[in-house]
Amino acid sequence: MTSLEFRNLVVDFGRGPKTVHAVKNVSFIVPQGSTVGVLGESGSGKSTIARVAVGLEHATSGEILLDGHSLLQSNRAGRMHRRQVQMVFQDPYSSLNPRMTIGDSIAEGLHASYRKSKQRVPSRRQIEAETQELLSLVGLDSSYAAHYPRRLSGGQRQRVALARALGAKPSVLLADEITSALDVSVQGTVLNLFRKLQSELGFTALFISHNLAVVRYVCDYVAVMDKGDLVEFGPVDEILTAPKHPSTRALIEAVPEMGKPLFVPAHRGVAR
Amino acid sequence: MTILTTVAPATRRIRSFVHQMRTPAGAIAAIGTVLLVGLAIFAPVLWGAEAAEVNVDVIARGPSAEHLLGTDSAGRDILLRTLVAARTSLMYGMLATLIGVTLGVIVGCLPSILPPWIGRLVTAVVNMLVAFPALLLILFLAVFFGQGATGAVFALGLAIVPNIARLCQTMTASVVGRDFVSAAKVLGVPRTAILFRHIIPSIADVIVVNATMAAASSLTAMAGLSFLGIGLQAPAYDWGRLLSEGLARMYVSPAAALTPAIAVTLAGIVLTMLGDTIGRAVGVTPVISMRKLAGLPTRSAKPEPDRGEAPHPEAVLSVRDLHVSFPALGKWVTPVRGVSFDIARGERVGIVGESGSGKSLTALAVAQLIEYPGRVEADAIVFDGVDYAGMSEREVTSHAADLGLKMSMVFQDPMSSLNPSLRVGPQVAETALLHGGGIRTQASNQATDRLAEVGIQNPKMRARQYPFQFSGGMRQRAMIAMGLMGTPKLIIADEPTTALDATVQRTVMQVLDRVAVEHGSAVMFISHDIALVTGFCERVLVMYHGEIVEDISSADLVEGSAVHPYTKALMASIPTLTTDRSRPMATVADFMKEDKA
Repeated sequence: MTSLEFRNLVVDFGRGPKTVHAVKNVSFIVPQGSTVGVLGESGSGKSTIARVAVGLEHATSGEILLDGHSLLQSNRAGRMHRRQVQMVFQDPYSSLNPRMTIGDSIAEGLHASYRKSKQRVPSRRQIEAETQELLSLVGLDSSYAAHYPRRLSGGQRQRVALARALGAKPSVLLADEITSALDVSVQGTVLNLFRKLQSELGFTALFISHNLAVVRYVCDYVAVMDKGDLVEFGPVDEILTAPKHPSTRALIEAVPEMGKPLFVPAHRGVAR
Repeated sequence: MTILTTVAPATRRIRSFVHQMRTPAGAIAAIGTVLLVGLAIFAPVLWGAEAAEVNVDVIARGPSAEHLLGTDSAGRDILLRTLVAARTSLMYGMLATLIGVTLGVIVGCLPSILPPWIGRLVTAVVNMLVAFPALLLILFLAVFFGQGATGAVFALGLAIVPNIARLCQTMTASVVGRDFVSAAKVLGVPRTAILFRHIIPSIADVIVVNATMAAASSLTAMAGLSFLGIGLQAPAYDWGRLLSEGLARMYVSPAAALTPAIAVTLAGIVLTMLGDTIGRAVGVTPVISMRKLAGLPTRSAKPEPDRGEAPHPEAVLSVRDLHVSFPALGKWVTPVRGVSFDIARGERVGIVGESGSGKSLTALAVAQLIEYPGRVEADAIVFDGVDYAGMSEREVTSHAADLGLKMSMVFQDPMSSLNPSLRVGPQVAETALLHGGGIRTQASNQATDRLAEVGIQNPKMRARQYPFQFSGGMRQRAMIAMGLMGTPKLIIADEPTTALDATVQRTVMQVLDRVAVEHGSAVMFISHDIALVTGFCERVLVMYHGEIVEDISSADLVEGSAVHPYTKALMASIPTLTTDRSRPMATVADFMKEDKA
């Protein structure tokens, strides 16, 4: 298994005076087999680091290393290593092609990963069998292979997205806000699935979320980002109980908690 | 309110086509196309020889029994010649379209396969060509290729390329931005496979519709080129040539010129209608159905009179047996079924539930904002002493000022609820101008005051800015300020902080809290975040499948004294900062199973 290292990663968008510094010199390590949560508000750069790791955005400088091998090179070696890193996206309504059946979507990923790893692409029947296997892995009935995404609920779609990513047999899985587009009642099932899959398959994971409670439930370590900077990194309990950085503290305080008033309420009963 | 269907897209599409063929426009387009194609195939076979027959005895005659529409300068029958010319006219028009669309799609899709810098170059060239007038381009190319059908067809085809290419580029760009393309890239699907499997199928509908429209225009343009003498050359003829031959005798025998002219016009109209029909069938062109749905949504027969109590006289809002229905695929679906509740003056009531549980529709129905074809039925929707249930649209409009000043709404997405092209100040002031009959300067001063009240710094300057210059939290506060232009008795907030960060959410909630207290407004607060709702509201309504399944005080809910299994499940399935990590999360399914068992 594999550890993922971000080393002095810098990502700028645009050029000249209008440059947006999305990620400013971020370094941390996702230890092998563990889950690191990335917490931060919108615009903190938390999704960008994941998108760079899978090659959807370009780093301005710095490195992302998978067991010491660079993920950022555009040559064949870089692509080979990148293949081991897969990503699940936030919006399950946009991450599946509405014109392809669930089975085809998963099979496409299988094909691609066989071709990329220079292995012989197995027969259609074998691909089908593997697709079925992946579906049952994420707790979906094999009959779903013939369905189009529109028949599936958000939670089911997110399961399919997980199955598709796992088809590439990744050693690192990047989960970008995978429950934030889902209903609260469905969120739990996807989190359970994620934890089950990780304990069974043992992949290393980066779990991006703005939800502290979700990060606490799923992750071992947490990295807190604020406006492109990594402001705090450490074991999840340590950070959430004794935050050192003011922006981590603000983040924790802002989360409404059951049974506690949101803030000192304005003085009631002075209606005009 | 998504309606799940079990059919594959292809089957759905065929059904949609059949449905469109039954509309008058669709039927005319279909019949016209069949006639046109039939003519192009069979007319030359049937009448080709006859139409070419020179008869010196009947040169340039008017209409007669033998030659219905007269003869031309060589004594040939004009009607037959027009019919026979359908093949050449249609064929060259289609050929030009085929060339144009094929090249256009290739050029338009190239940037997504090529290295970025070449892609940008191609895009720039296409953009420049789009700006070039098509007619000039056609004439230039026609001269360049020289006289004759081949030259004209290529000229026409190439002239179509920029528009189709541009269309492809914009469509492709929007598809490439979607996550399923990103997912395919991450999996390592080759770029060409992404193009053919993901991008082209997604844009094909629009391309087909536009190609049909392009066919109509290149058919007429081809006739135009022949008319000018740079298209088909004698002895070959199409409608354009017939027109130019007939024009000389326009005043002697108008049929000679009018017949081919009418043929060109009709063919153009048929093709345009065909494009329109395809567009409607595949969902590119919006469908405005004039058909009335049979039957109205039926509220379940109520066992009078014990169903629910009378509207509460003291409440600011009293709703009884509210139903909201929408037509879908020829049937009525009713996402809100029999909702009854009261909100006391100054009370804060939260509504929680899944997406699709009907919580937003309930709010919209209360605010009289359900639009046609949606239907609202209720025994009572009493707001501030006025019962809006069963009111006609006109009656509601006569109360608009009341609603506008006494009820205010804050929606989830502040970017789409503010008009992006108007300054914020006037938008906030609009309520007062519209309903309060205020004077402009007074209203705008009041708007500035209200912006200050919701904590917007430097409100005078901010009032002159546009929504895009505001952050998400500021926009949401501006929406609250808009509601404060009257004296709101009820503020309806539909997921007002869902799109915002937690820290921003806090400031918006603080503002909402303060203004509600200061103005004595009741708040109907819709959210999926139970912790937020219990922290802000005194009472919580839980909605499930269009019904209120639990009406409970926040304190009781937090203590865990909820009764309905769905509420219990909801409470248990939310991860908190004290959730036991050694155990899997409870899910709603677990609880609902217990309920059934």
